[in-house]
Amino acid sequence: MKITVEHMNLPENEVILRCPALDEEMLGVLSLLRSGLQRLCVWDDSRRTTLLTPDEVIYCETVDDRVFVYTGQAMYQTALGLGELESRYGGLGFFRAGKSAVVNLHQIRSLASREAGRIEATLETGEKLMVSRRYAPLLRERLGL
Amino acid sequence: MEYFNRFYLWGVNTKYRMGLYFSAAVFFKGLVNALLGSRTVEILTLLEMLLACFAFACLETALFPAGQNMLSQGKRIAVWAILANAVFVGCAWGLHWFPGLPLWGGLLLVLFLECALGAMWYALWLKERLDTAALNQGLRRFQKRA
Repeated sequence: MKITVEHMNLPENEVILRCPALDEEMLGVLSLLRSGLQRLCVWDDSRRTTLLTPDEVIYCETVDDRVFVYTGQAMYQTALGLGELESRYGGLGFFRAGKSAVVNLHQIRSLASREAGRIEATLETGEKLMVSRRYAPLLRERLGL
Repeated sequence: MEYFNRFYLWGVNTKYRMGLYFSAAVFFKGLVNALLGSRTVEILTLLEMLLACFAFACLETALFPAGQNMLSQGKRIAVWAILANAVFVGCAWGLHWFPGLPLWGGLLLVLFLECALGAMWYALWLKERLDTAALNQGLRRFQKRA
């Protein structure tokens, strides 16, 4: 891949990708750019706002109509709903694991098949999260199985 | 309607389990009868077997409701195995399902029962293990690709 950096007078930074087709390499570049640009705005208990990159997020869950975002070190809240999180960061590995949880597939250490078609995910933090019967087939599809 | 739907789903689940045990019971009854020189099976015995299988299927459904991880519940598995022996060995002995069968033949049937019960759990364990391996392979591929 040829990389060119041009310095010119522009109101804001601009990235243009030129390719005959969106192949694996270009999709990787796009994903990298998006992960850098699409930061997730969250706040902690003391109402301090932070911008997280999607790859920092382990999983998100709803509790009493509030959406909590868990990283390896801390827990935050976000204004986005689980559906929005899934649609916005789905391409970066966010996956709906149940009615009340979205998990980052890149932060899963291992998966285990469970009775009645469910899947148990062990996260990088050691926590376990159950992918419900409804969402397990979608996970299999996502993993190319 | 909700209650009916739940009852209906319970019925479907129980019926499937009952059918599985009943076919095994009829197979062994037929085999033993054939080996003892008889080519018929009494309807009353078949009905008794059907009822015994239904009772055991009900107990099994109560012990392992749909959606529960059967392999992770050691105590329930032990209760299930004891109940299976009590129902099938008890009925076979008490209701004379295999008349004329020598003692060694009866012991052999009990041994088959134990092997069948073990095989059921082994099949579940094996299925889970292979599925888990495939899931993790898919996960690694996905994580590597991104």
